[in-house]
Amino acid sequence: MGKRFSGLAAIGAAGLLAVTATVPAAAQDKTSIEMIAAQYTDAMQPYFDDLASRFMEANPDIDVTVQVVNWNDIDQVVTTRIATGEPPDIANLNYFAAFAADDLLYTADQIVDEATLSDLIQGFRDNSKYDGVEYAVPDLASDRLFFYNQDILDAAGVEPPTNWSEVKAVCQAILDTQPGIVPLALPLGPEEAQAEFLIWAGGNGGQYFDGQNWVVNSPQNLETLNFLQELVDMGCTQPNPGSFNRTDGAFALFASGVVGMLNGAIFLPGELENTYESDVNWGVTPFPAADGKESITLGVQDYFFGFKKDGNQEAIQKFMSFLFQPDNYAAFLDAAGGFLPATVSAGESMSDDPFLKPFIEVLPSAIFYPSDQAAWGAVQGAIQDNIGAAFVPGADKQAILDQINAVGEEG
Amino acid sequence: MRSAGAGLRAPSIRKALLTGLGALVAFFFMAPYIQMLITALTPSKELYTVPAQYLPSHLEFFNFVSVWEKAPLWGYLRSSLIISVFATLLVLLVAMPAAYYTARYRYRGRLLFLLLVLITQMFAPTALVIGIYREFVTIGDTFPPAGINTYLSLILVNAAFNLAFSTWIMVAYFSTIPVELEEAASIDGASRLGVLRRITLPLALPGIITATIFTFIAAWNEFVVALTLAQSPDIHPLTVGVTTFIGQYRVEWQYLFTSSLIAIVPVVILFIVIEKWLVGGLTAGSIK
Amino acid sequence: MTETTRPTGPALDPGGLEPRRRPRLPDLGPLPWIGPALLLIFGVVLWPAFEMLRTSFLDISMSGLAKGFTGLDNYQRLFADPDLPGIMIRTLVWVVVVVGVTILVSLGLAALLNAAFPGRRLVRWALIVPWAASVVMTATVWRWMLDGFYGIVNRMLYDLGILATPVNDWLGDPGSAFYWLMFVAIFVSLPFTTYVLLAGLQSIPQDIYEAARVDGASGWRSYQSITLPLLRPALLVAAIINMINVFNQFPIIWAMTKGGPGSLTDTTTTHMYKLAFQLADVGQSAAMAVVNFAVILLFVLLYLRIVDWRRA
Repeated sequence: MGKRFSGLAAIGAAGLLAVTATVPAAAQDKTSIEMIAAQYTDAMQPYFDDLASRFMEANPDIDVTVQVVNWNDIDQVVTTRIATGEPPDIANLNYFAAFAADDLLYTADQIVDEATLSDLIQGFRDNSKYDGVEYAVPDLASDRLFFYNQDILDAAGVEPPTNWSEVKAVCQAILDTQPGIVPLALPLGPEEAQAEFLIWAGGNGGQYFDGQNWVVNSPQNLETLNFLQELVDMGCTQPNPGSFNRTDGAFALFASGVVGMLNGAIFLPGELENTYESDVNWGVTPFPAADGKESITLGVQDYFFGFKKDGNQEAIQKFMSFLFQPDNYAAFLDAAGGFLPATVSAGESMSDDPFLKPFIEVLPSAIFYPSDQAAWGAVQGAIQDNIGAAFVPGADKQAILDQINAVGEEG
Repeated sequence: MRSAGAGLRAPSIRKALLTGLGALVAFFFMAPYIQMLITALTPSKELYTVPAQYLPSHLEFFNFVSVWEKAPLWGYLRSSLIISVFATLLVLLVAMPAAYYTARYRYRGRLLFLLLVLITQMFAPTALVIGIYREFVTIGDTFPPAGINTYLSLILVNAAFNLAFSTWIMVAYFSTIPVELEEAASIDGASRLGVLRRITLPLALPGIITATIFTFIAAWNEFVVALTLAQSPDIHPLTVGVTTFIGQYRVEWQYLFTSSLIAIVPVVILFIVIEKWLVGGLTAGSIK
Repeated sequence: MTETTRPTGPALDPGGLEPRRRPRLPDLGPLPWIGPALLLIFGVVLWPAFEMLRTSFLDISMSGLAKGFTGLDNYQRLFADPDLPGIMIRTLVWVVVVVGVTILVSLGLAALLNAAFPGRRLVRWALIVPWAASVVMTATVWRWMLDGFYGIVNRMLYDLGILATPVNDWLGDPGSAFYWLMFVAIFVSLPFTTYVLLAGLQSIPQDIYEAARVDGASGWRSYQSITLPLLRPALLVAAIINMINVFNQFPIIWAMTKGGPGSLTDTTTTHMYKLAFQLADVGQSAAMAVVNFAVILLFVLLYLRIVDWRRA
């Protein structure tokens, strides 16, 4: 089209070629593996970069890249990769069974060495099975306790509640004595609604999956929703629980001393101290259950799992076993910030931590998500999206529960 | 430059009113970013106060320094610049000839071309992300420099998805330049290229500049495709890089906003530099 | 395609007034000019678009693997969703209100920025900031400002006496949340729309206004009969681009309410994203994407029809 444009085109082409010279060259005779890891904190990427480079020094024939993605986006990234037939080699997510169901994964003994496998806590290993076979290994775990603000409860003249009736009574007492304080924070927004709801539901004997069928819409769960609605109507909770999350709402409110009670987790004390620098006088107690029912705690674990591809199994196993070496694993837990270890050995070295003690004590009564069900990933998404809608005025709670249940049944 | 309807008797009152209105408008559009700045300078302990406070007890300017250590911002900036600059150049390179020809000549298939361009604008990269990923895996198998995890793939995607707007706007601009102007210049002895350079391009400059800015900003702020195609942190642009401050249990608002403000700066600089061409570039009294 | 009688350019002049202007290369017609554009479009945009269409007819498992052809099953499930009508109505409201208000306000802003007054330059620069900032960040900071407990908006309204209490959960209540979402969408669309219209205003030669004034027309009259008609190409581009961008808008809703609670602030675009990446139903999501495309295409073609675009 003339000298000007061909000149421009030449510059453009040269520029593009120069820029593409930054593409890493395909390694010869090297196995390359790629991991997608979850961003627990912003210390994860530096941790993995360091781990990978030390591993590569020790294993010059293996190339490792780790991409750390934050929890908001990791589902999208992993789904895209799998949908295009390009899964990573290792993934770190909070569900795995759907991939196992499609026969995409290695078994647990193929991705870590024998020593690591036998060091993993049995309870978590049991929760990493699909169809009776262990496909994933636990990376870390948390469990939960009921947190309360001692000063607020003292000012209201009440003790921490032990069952649902007492929860109502404590709420009322706080409302009467301290207007402007939120007695109970109820984060049922998309961030971790599946946890929040299961804690309350579990206290009523309800669950998501009973071993045979999806029972998200069971009568006990409806009762739980109705109980929570009563609390909302009383003014016990912050408005609009369906749009309220922990990370940008409940925790911060608790930290600034505006909330009386809250479902908290093992990492909350660390957050209160380090992130929020809070001077709230907090205490913990087991979760209040429905009158006459057993108190539970919710155990949550995430997973590492490996995707079957030609020639990567050995590399995966070496890298994962390297990660689980005591020093590296301790650094992992440290970077992730305040979680329970998945290995017995790491647990032992942390057991004299006074903060951890109450959390470790309730671990035996832990209930877990049904992550051995292939449809769990989708059901989790459905709960996150929809359970909050149950609190919009005029909502049909049963229909919402049915809708969520249907996602499980279809899967 | 007077707008239509100029003619009020008291120009200074008018100007004062306009300046006042302008100030309000400017404040309205800057308000959220002023808030961003305030939050960026807030010590983390004071982020969550109920009710909110207008200003923190002291301004933590150090946040602007520590953010560079918390995340590799230089690297992110560099990536964003590479992707945006080349995507913009590519769009101009491709769209200008197409727009010029389409504006000038009623060739067979012209309408179809315009409709095709319009249709591409309707596809959002977010909707197509899976297909885009698959596509670049395939491309990468035969031509690695444009595969997954390369700058070139991001440049191509950003260019392709912004092509439509740039083409449309330049067609519109080229069309408003009367042919007589070009013919007049030709008759005066200018070569085709000279006509282009001296008459057409200067007149269409506002449109070209608009297309440049639009494409640059769109590429600078693109997120979903960058997240998916750019796996290694070395080539993460800013949009992906700042998500590092969104942890699982807390959001580091002050760093998030600090890095967002840093990300705005290059674009604003580009705009300030280019703005005078946007404003100028008009010949008064075109056909004598 | 019909040839028009309007003189269109040297190359179609049958007589060949200027032999020098005949192209030196064999006349390939439009190809060398529009070729690269076509290549980019087909190569990078249409290819994934066809993929999306194909995927909508496939059965995709929960982990994302394609399991085979399944006909219209995805579409059936999509339309059987009881939330869908609400989502579609909301999307319609979303597009009409946001685009309409944006264009009206932009006309005013463009006129303002075209007038001469001290400080005009600064106002123009201020207007560029929302455009320069990523939409995700703008939506995030608005979300921060509108937060029920920590947001500065509540604090201000309370101090001004408009609100009774300093806590007001704007974004939690789906009714009020949707208005705020539209407000933010308008906020981010105003800058570039204003600039498009401003550029249009500036390409109007001033002698036309002189001539009109000589004839006795001025002010509002000349705005109506001169400015607006001459702004048609710019208005057309602004309207269509806005329609498309607003319809496809994702980050604002996602960052501020994630379409919640439930689907009560979802548009078809966020719903499509949720289907694929939260509900692990890539097939149904692809069906939604196809429907979305058909809808926006319809919207735009209808609009073009209404304004009779060929006159532009």
